[in-house]
Amino acid sequence: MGAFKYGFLGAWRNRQSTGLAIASMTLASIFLCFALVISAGTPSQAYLAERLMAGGDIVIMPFAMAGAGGGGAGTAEMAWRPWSLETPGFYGDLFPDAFDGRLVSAEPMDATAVDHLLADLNRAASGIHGAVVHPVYEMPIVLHLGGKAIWATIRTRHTGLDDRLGLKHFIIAGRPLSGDDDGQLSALIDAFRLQIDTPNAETVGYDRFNGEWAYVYRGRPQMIDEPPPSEGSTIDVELPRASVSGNIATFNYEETVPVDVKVVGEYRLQTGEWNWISSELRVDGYRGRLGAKPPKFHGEITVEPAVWSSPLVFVTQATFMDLAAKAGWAEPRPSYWTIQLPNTLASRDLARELQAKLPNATVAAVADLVPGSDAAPQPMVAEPRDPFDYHLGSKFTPPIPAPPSWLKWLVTVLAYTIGGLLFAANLWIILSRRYSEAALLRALGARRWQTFALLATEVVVVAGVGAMLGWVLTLPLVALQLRGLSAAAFLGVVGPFLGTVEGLALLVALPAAVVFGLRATQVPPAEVIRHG
Amino acid sequence: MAGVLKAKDLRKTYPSGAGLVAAVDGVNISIRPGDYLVIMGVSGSGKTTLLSLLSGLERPTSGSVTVDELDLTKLSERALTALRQSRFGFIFQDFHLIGHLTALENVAVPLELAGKSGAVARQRALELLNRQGLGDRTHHFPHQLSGGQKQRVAVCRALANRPSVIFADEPTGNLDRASADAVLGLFDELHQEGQTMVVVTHDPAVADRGDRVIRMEAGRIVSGERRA
Repeated sequence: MGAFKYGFLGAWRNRQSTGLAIASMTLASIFLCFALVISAGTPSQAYLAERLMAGGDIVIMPFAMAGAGGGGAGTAEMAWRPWSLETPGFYGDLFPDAFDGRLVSAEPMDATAVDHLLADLNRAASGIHGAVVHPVYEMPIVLHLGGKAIWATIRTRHTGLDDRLGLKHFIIAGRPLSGDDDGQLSALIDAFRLQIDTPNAETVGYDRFNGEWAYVYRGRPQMIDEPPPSEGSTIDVELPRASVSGNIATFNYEETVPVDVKVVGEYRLQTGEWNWISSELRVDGYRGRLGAKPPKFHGEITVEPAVWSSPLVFVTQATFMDLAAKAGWAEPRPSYWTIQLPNTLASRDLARELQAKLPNATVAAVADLVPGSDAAPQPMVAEPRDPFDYHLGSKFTPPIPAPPSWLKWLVTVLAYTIGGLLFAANLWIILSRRYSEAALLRALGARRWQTFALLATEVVVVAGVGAMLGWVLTLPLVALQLRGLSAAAFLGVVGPFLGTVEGLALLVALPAAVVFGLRATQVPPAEVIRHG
Repeated sequence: MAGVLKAKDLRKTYPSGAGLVAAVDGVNISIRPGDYLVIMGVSGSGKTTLLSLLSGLERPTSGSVTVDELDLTKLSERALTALRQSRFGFIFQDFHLIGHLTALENVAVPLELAGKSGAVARQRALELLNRQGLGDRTHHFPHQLSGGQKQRVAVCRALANRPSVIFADEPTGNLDRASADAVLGLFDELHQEGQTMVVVTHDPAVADRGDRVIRMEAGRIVSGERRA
C-alpha cells in the first residue's frame, strides 16, 4: 500500500535527517544497553539466573560444568593441575572412616574473591557454567585405600554467590550410604524413589549454616555438640605428606607433617610451616578453615579424579523442604545436600527419570536450558593458571562488579526513563517534521489511516533501526566480558538485551506514533491553505 | 464528470477575541461545469475560507455546499475525503510539493491514494507531465525546479484524478510575472478543454482570465460579473 511505501521512501529520501534521528536513537540505545549491562552486573550472571531459574526447580548439569563455575580456583583447575597441599583451593574431606579429626575447608569470603571466580567463569572455555548457581561444589573422587576403592568428596564452598546471584538452590547429591544411617537421609532419598547405587564409601562433611554447625557423617545430618575452636586456641594438626605425580597425588600417612595452627578469628587460622594454610595470608578473600588431625593410617592412598560427568541435581529450597517434609523430616533445616549419582545416566535421561518421580517439581537438564552447554569440553578450564594471579590482576580483568541492589534499581529506573525520553524526543522531532505533509495528504484525499500509516512507518523504522544499531555497538562491551563463550551461548546472553532496547524503543515509538499519528490525522485539511 | 457546485447561505464563523468573526457570511453561489470562477478580495475578505468550504477542506458553520445535489456538509469525514480525492484537484500558493518526492512521484501521489497501482499511477503522471512540457523534469526533486515548474507540477497533480473542479489558492502568489503567465496560460488551456476552475486571488491579472469574477469583502460577495 502506498502509505507504507511513502513512509519508507520519506525515511530514505530524507537520509540526512533520518540518519540524524537514527543516530540519536542509536546513542540513546547505547546508553540504555550500557546501563542495562551495568545494572544487571555481568550479563552471564543475569543470563544464568534467568535461564536456570526459569528452567525449573531442578536443573541437572554435568559435574565438570558445575566445577568450572564455582571452583574456578579449585575444582576445575584441579583436573589439570597436579594436586598438592600447596595447591590453593584444594581442600576436602579426604579422610576415610577412621578419621576422627575435623575437616579442612576454605572459602572465599568476600566479594573480590567471588568476582575473581566469576571472572574465571566468564572466560572459561565453553558455554555456561551452571555451577555458579551454587556455592558448594563437590568433586567425587575415588580413593583406593589398601586396594579397596571407596568414595569420597572434595568440597569447596564459595559463600556469597547465592546472594549475588539471587538464587536459592540446594544441591541434593547422592551420597553413598552405609552403616548406621538413622534413616532420615534414606527417607529423603526414598522421597525421590531413586535407587542410589554407588560403591561402598564413606563421606564426612562439616559445615556451618545459619550459625549452627552441622556435621554430616556417613550421609547423615546431625548437629554437633562442639563449637568451632575459639579464637586464640591452638590446634594440633598433622597432615599426611603428599607427593605428586601428574594428576595423581599420593598421600603418605606414615609420614605426617606437624602443623601448628592457631585460630586467629572465625574461620581464620594461622600456621607456621604449612604452605596451604599459610597461603591464606597471601590472598585476600581466601580463608583457610580448620586444619585436620590426620588419622593414623598406614599405607598409601591414591587419589584420582573420577566421574567428571557425574550429574548434579539442583533443587530449590522450596522443593527441598517439600521433599524433606515428604520424607518425614520433623525439622528439615536448610542445608547443603548432595546426591552423587553414578555416572550411568546422561543429564537428559536423569532429568526425565527425576521428572517422572517428582511430579511436583520441574526438572530440566541444563543442556536444554543453556544452548551448547552439552558440547562443553570437560574439564572446562583449558590451561592451568595460578588463581592468585586473579588478585594480582596480571592476567585477568575482573568483570564489572555487581552493584548494590538499590543502585541497580536506580540505574535501571534512570536508564529506562532517560532512554525512553531520548527515544520520545527523537520521535517527536520526526513527527513534527511530517505534520504539514499530513495536512497536504489529507487535502489530496488521503484517508486518516493512510496518513497514520505513513507517519508510523517512518517512526518505527527510525526507532527500530536506531535501537538495533545501539545494541550492535554495545556488543563489543558485552563480548569483552563474555569472551570464550560459544557463539550460541553468547547470543543467548546478549539476545535479551536486544529484546530490551528494541522493546523499549518500540514501546515508546508505537504510542508516539499513535498519538502523533492520530494528531496528524486530525489535522484539518484546510491547514494546508491556512498555514502553508 | 459534470458537477454543479452550489453554495447556499454559506456561513463560517471563528471565535476571535470577545466574540465570533464571520469569515464567510451568507454566501450563495452556483458554479456550473466549465466555469472559470475567480474569487477576488483583499486579505481577510474570506475568499480563502470560501475556497476551503467549497472544496470540502472545511465544514461550514451553517448553510450547505452541494455537488450534483450531494450535500458536502452532510458527508462523513471519510466520504468527504473520498470526494476530495476523486472529484477535486488542489493548487496552492506555495505549491506544497512533497520535498522528498520527484516531480513524477508527486503527481502520482493522488493516484496512489486513490488505489491505482504504482505502474498505472506513474504512467498517468508521466503523460500529464509530458503534456505540460515537463517530460525532462520527471525525476527532478522540487528543490531542483523553478517556481513556475513547481506550480506546473502541482497543476499536473491536481489533474491526476481527472477532477470535476480544480481549486487554486493564490496560484501565482509566489511566482514571477513570466512564470505566473505560464501557469495562467495553462489554466486557460484547461478552461478551453472544459475544466471547471475556482481560483482565489488578489492578482488582477488572474481576474482578467476568468469568465466569472466575484469580489468579496468581509465575508460577503459584493459584486459578481460574468464575461462573455
